[in-house]
Amino acid sequence: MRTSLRILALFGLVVLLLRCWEEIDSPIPIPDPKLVLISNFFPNELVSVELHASQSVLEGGRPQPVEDAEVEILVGNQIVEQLVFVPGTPSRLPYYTTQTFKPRVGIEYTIHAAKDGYVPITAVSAIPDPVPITFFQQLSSTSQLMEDGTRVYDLGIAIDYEDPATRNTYYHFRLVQEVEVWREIGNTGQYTLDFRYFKPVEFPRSGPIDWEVVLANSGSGVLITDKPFEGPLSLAVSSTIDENQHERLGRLFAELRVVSREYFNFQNDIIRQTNNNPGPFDDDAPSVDNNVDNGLGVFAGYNYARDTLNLDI
Amino acid sequence: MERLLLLCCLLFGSFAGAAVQAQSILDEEVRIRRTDKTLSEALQHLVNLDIPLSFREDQVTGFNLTIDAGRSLSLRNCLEQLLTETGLKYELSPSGRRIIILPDPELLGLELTLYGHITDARSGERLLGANIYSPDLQQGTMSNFYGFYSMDIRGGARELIVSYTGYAPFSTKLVFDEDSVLDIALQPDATLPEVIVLPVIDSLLPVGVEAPGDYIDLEDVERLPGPGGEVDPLRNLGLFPGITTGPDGLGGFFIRGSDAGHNLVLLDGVPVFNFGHAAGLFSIFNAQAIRRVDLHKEAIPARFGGRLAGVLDIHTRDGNLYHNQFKLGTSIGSSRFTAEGPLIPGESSFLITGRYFWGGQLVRYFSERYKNRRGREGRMRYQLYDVNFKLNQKLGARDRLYFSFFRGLDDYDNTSRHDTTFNVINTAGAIFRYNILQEKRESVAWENTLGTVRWNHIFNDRFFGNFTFSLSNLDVDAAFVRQDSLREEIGGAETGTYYFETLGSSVRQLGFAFDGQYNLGGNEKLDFGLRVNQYRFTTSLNNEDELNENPVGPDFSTSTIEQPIEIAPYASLELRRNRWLFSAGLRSQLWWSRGATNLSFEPRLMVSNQLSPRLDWRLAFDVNSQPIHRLSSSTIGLPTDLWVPSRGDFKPARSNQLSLRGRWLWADNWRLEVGGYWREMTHLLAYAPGSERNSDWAENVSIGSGQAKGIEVLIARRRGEGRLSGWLSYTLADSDRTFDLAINAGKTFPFRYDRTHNLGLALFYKLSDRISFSTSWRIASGAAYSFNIASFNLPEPSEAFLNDPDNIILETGARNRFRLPADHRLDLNFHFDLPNHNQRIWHRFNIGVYNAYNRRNPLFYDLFTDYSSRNGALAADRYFVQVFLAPLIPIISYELNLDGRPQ
Repeated sequence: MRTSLRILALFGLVVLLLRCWEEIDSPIPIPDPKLVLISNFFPNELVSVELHASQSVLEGGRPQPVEDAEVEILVGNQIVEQLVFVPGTPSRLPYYTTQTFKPRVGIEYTIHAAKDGYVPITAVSAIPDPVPITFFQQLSSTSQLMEDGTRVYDLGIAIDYEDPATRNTYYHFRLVQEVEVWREIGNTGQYTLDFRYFKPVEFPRSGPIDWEVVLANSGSGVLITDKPFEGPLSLAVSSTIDENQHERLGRLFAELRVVSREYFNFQNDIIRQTNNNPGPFDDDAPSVDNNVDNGLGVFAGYNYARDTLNLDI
Repeated sequence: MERLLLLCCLLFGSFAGAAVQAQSILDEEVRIRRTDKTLSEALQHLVNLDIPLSFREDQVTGFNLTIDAGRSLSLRNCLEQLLTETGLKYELSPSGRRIIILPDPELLGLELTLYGHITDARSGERLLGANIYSPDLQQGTMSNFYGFYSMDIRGGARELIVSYTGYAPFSTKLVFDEDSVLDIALQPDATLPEVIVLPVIDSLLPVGVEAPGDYIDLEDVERLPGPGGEVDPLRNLGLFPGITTGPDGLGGFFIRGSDAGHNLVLLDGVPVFNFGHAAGLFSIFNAQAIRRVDLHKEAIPARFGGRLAGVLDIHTRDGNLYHNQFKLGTSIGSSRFTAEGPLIPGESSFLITGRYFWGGQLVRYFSERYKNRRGREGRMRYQLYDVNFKLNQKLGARDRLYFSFFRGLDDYDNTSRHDTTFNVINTAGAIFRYNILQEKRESVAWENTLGTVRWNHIFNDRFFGNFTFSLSNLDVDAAFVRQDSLREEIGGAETGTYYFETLGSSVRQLGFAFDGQYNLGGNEKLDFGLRVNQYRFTTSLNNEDELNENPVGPDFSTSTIEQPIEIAPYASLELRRNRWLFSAGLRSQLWWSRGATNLSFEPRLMVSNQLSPRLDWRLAFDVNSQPIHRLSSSTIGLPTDLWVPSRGDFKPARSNQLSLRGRWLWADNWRLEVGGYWREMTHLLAYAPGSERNSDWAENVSIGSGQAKGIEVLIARRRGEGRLSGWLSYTLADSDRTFDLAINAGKTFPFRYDRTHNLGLALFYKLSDRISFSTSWRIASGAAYSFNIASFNLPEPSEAFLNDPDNIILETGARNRFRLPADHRLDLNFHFDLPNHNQRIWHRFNIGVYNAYNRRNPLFYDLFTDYSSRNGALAADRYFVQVFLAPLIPIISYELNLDGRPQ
């Protein structure tokens, strides 16, 4: 009896604490692939559209581009132009583009894409009016050479823009740092500019902005609604160069994108999903807002203003 | 004139004659028989002797005879002796020919107070929520949480009935001519004969004589243990209407569409911030230490506050005042003991209980072997214990002092490492060598510490007060490391995920409380009091997602500390008029945090009416405010949820609830309850998924609202003279949430535990006095959940068209758009109470099956990836797994009682 009880007890324990998962068939209906359309368009430039198919969660690898689709851009019910397919290159995915048509501010455009085997998709967006940057200045600069040969510049900058008070305006605000790479001419000790490259400037995690209205923060800038501060915004940002590679700090570029609601929601959700952790202390991955009917992705217009700051360092 | 004189003479003559006749009656010699034991029998005997007596039978029953029977007395003396201390007197009828026995009108005019304590006769334990009721006055009251009661009573002879579930009803008739103290000791019904006649079984108690909440019968709990045989006072909560739980109780319980963190769980008046052992598989409350559990879903007394949904009010036993008692018990995996007894008999006692999960040692051994068999290194470890300690001391007739302490710990970690290398030969014959490293380390530890000192004082016959100093502390430490990498050994290309997260949190509440109860007279009662609490919240969270071959979760160093203060006075007035009961309460709450204050008011209104002795209804409106929020960061509700305070823009959450309930007692012990509720909740806080969680929690939350509505039905048969008892409950419910744009794009979505249908059945069948069979079955709609259904490629978020293959975006769709399968389970159990030859030692067994048909109710789904070489290429196969908690598990438990049959 005692032996039987012991076996039973151990059986219970093992079952309870170890057999806690099992392989099953999909508990959810696996959806058919959908067309995914991604296009951010702005004034006076050709409209480019990337088109590929979604894949189920059970599929691995990279989603495949969709070729030979019919992609049209319309104003109302009037087809403005049919986009043509451009094959991919090692540095760029294949895409569709207009050849002559360039969108304008304030007009609502519709994109339509169809391909056999997929449900046709449609999306609508417009380009908002630009908002000018009215002030962009350097306030301070300090630097520190690190042990690994990198130099960190701490920059104080101030920026302002003319937010229209009469409507909700959505912004994607970005800072881009230019870095110059110099090359020594032989062993002369003389240097010549070899090339320049650009890298995004990360925004501070806390600071003078009321961060509750900064809906996302990544290396690509911040998303802001309207103007959540009084007067110019003072920011403390950092830029790093590698002096071992003969890098020097170049100009600082500010880009204030005035974006459509579709752009804002999509980017905001993308950043949230990217930030979402896979750990057990975390919630489900957030969904991504999507303005493509019957499909996925985003078709969103935006406008922009840019300013440049020659840094005094 | 002559006629007038004649008439006067006749009248005088007849009066004089009657007086003489009466005198002669009263002077008659009578003798009460020795066989007459009661006043009623003695008076009937006199009637049989042709004594012209008139009396109402109901007014003379219930009095034992105190006269020296068998001796000859004058009728006058006999009646005087018979009616002593009965509140009755005798009078001659106007004709003088009859003797009338009637209540003393002087006594009837007295408005008196009766007060005292109701206790267990065997242990001296004070009984909470016992009913004391006067049938002739049609009024009564209920003992408070310290067994004290105070009720109005009119002078004269009054019958009193005292009842309490699990005890033999006590009935007595007493004469009241002044304010009186009556301490009543009830006999546990386990000591009574098998067949008991209950005096109050065919009608509902008058309104106001019952506790407003639901009483969780601990005997039922003993007969329906949880997995492995562990007896858990909260195990059956999900079988009650309006309450649902996660699979196997995981994640706590959810009252009427509210979150688990919206419940106020009190142990001896001290809030418990996490009441789960083993992530909620069973609670920290040791059934051997518990005296009573009350659940309030509506008509919540004003003394409770600080949570939105409901109150689970748990009181521990005091310890036997008269005898030492010792119990030992074990179930599959854990053992427990209880020791109690008097320090000074009748004056003070102690109680100590403890549990230890010895199965943790076996888990370690078996998990190591199990993982090795699956080609993995690692093991699982689980340590668990809890201990209760309580002292109480009488300080004279009016005072009593209590000290109670609880500590419980869960310490779990699980490691698993799978490191393998394999070759892929492509069609050209080239060999690619891959290394797969899959490693998981997780650890969670949480510890509850509760302490309280309480002082009861009876100020006077109408005024009872209790002072409490309390401490409640919860510490949580958790870490999670996960690596799933695929490395090409020659080329060095590496893909995969690495992730670690550490979490630490602590919440402490230091409190002072005063609770007063004042009997205003005229069936009016005033409850009032004050609570002052000082909190301390410490939270720390850190995470990283860089790929690392040898991941080690770093220590987290950043933490936030907040110390808000809460001041909450309350008052509640209860009026009883005929068959109506009105209760109006108001609780206010001043919350001070980081220099900002928030003042809120919580009105509680209730009206109840008894339409007939078998039918009543109740309407209640409750407003609740919750200044502390539980942020659930996981989908399944782990102990790692953070408690955070309201501050600044994060106002206390608030709920308004309107509820209506009707009850019908249609047969002996059978009861039907039908109710409905509507609830709205505002200022709810939730994690905004995808927020950067390294910083202050306040930057990572969303504010939202919720609503819940439902219909509840309960058919129950109370334990009585029959063999069968139990209940059937059904709830039709709907609950959803709406948050700001950060969650589900601001659109309304179903609450995770929005179970549209929820049916629970519990049956208890008494095979004999010592053996019973119990079963429970529950079925509920599946919980709502989210899952990625598809993915698409998106280059760098703001710069489309860059060739970045790693940026895969998941399509999750609307939040909680899917439903898990229906959650159901059947438990069976036989319960035995077996004594030794002299019945001093009792053995209690439970033998049964948990989840009898091995239903695997999923906690959640996950996706796993297996890599292999296929057709000369690396292939990744993805598949779904269902994570569940408890399959079929035997119930085996044993308890040894060294001092008679356990209650």
